[in-house]
Parts: sequence; structure tokens; C-alpha cells
Amino acid sequence: MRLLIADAVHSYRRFVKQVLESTGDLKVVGEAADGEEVVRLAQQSKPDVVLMDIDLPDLDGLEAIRRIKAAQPGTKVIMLSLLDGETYRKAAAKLGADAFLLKGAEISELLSVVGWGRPAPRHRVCKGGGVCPNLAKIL
Amino acid sequence: MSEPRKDPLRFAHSISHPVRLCRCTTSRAAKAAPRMYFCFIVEEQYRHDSMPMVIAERLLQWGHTVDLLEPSETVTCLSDLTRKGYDAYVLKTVAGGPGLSILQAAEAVGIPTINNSRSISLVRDKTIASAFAHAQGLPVPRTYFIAHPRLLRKIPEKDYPLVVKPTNGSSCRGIYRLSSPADLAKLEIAAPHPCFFLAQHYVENAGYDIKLYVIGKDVYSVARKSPLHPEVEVEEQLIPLRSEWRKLARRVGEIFGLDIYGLDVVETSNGPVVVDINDFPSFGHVPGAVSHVSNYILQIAEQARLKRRKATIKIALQPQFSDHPAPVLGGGPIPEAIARCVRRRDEWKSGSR
Repeated sequence: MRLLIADAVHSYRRFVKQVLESTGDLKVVGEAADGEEVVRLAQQSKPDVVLMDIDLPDLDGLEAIRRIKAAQPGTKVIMLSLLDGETYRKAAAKLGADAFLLKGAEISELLSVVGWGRPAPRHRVCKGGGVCPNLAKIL
Repeated sequence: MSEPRKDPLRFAHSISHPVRLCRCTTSRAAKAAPRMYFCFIVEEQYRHDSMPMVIAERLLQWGHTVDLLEPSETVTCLSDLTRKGYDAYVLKTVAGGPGLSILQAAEAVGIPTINNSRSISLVRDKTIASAFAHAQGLPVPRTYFIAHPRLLRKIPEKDYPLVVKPTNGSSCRGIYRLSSPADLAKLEIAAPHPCFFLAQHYVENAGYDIKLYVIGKDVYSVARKSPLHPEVEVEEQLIPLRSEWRKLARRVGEIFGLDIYGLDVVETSNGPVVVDINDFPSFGHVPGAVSHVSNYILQIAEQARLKRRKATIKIALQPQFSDHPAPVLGGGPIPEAIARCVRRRDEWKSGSR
């Protein structure tokens, strides 16, 4: 399986590449640092899967999904985000993203979303929401 | 989250009591939850840091009451500890700081603490943490304790390369790498006095540190630049979590008894190796960390409150209390519950029920 990784941070791309390629079945065919680059590389290298940060410079991840999906509908696009949020998920899904995953998710989850190994039971949900829990429930 | 706070919370000097933080707006969700009362022991070193003050602020925003106690500036009346009615004491410790004594005192009189004093004692001195971790079978490098850098000469050559660090160090300060005994000639250690050192065998690794942050059972991994590898470019950021890191992090928590903690690991060819453990770390780059830690503290305090309530009711229902009035334990729902139980028991005895 051929993958393209898009993230503004080089060390993050390097780490994810290391993890994916350690499986032996996955090959990272390109790395992009911004939205324009990921769209261009997607057209050039024709990857099976694009792993892309939602918050990319120049052209944000959401617009990049739209362009990639318009040109190559068969390419699987997985959005990565530091923060969970219904708005992000819905926007990404509406534009054709195939999955939405948090950057801190477990590697096994990342691999299964990519399509390697067993399918993930569910996508990781961000912990630590913004409100005090209703402790009356414990009572 | 370790940057200096722009808007430090108020501290009073030359006072004899903790400082009560002023309550801000209360969220609707917080109104549904029981009000809790916390005492944050803030060591002098952290009074301008964001952690743990941001947690205190968040609890306050949620409608709970928070007192700040700065041990170096406060006279703490130990006779009044139970009368204060705190649901929990919270401490982010500093090696050698006075906060731990107060935390231990609170724990001794039955007040919940976060983290507990035993756990903090085990991790705040790296000598103890290292020996304990090794004895418990955790993957830690072979480590020597030295009271003075001149003793480095006595460490066998086979244990090189070495990493030398102060036993009370923090934030990656004062860490040196020695490739061979020949490096001892040019070693100039700048360390605070009094200070002892650890000399750890350097394990070959990926060239960057992984900080594992743990809140209860939840683990987050953040890649971090290693002080021993300044040449490796790493932007500090949340990275996907390896299952072996999660297992290791939880194991450390179980062994040390920590609730809120962090550990530094390096990835080696033999798997992850633990090089440091801290209670109450900064949780930098962990999304939603302030709310998550605050929620977790509330849960611990609430569970402890429920446990106390159950224990008190149990005591009140014991036969030895049959000829005595209900015990008086202060205001609030606990005495009411006891009184209700005792009333019912008396009604049964008198046959009116």
C-alpha cells in the first residue's frame, strides 16, 4: 500500500513514516509540508492513502481534501487533528474524508484506519472535554 | 505549559493562612455537580508557572473553592487540618520542598491527596525512583549514585557511555554525557549545592525523548528534543501512541501508585526504556489537558467523599452506638444521613415503626 503524509512538522512526518514503514507492507511515497504540496504530490504519486493534518499552511486540509477527492475519488483520505470536534469531523466527512483520527491516537488504531491489520473498533474520542463532569451521577 | 504565567494568581506574603481564590463565573454543568473544596500546595519554584495554577483556576471557574498554600510563606496550623474541611490537597512537588510535609500531614489525618505522599516520595528523588523502578523490574538503565563528581572515576569503564544528572534535577537541566572515562578530564559540572548525582548507562536510542503523560488510565505521547542530542531536530508535539508505551506508562503508575504523572522514555532496539518519572508534569502539548486533569481531580475527591460517607454511616449503625446519640461530624449531608439512620433504628427499637 502506498501512502502520502502531509503535516507541517517534519519530525511528525518522520515519526509516522517510521511507524508505517516498520510494518513492512506500507510504503510512504511522499511527504508534504503544506496544502498546495499535498494536492500536487497526490496527483503525481497517485497514493492509495493520504494521511493529512487538518491544519496545514497555505491551503488548509479541508480544501485539500476537496481537491484531492475531486481529482482522485478512489484515494482514501484520512484526516489527522490535534483536537477532536464535531465541527471538524462533519466538515471533513462532508468533503469526502474517509476517516478522522486524533494525532495522539494509538498506533494500532492508525494502522487499522489506514487499512493494515484488523479494523479499528471505533475512532479515538478526545478526552478531557471542557466541562466539569456531573458528579451527581456517581452519587 | 511550562512557560511563566502571564497572569499569576494572587499570593499573599507574611500570612498565616492559605489564600482563597476568588470565584469566577460558574458553568451550568458545574452547578449540577457537588461543590468541592481544595487546597493547592504551591511550591515557591512553581508560583509563576502555569501548572498547577491553571488547574486551580479551572476548578474555580467550575464553581469549586480553591485555597492556595505556599509553604515557604505560610504558617500552617496542623491542629486545624481536619477542621478546614478540604476534600483534597493537591501538590506538585519539588525535590526538597516543604510541600510534601504538609501533604503527608493531611494524608495522616485522612484527607485525600493528589498524588499520594508515598508516590511523591518515591519519584521526587531520582535516586529512590531509580532504585525502586529497577527493583520492580521496570526497564531502566543501570544506574550509580555518587555524592560527588570526582567519584565518577570509580565507575567501571564497561558502563560507559554515561549520562550524569543531579538527583534533584528538573526540566532536563544539568545533564551531561560522557562517552568514555577520558571525557572526565573536561567535565565541568554546574549544579546547585547541595547536590548529589546519578550516573546512568547511556542506552543507544532514536535520538529524541518521548514524554508519556498520564491522567488516570489515559496516556498521551509527546516527542521531545533530547538534551543529549541537540543535533536531532524535533518539534515538540503529540505523536501516535505505541501500545508498549501505554502499557509501560500504566505499569509505572501501578507500581509507584501515581494518579497524575509523566515519564520520559527513550526508544531503544530492546523497546522503551524509562529515564525519568515525575509526579504532576506540565502536560505540554496534550490537548484538553487542563480540563482533563481538573475532571480527574474532581473524580478522586468525589470518590473519597463517598467512601468517607459510607464509612461514617457504617460506624453510626454499629451496635456500640445504640445507647449514644448520633456522632457529630460537622455540617453537611453526612451527619444528616447518619441522623436519619439512627432515627430509623430508634424507631424500630421503640416499636413505633
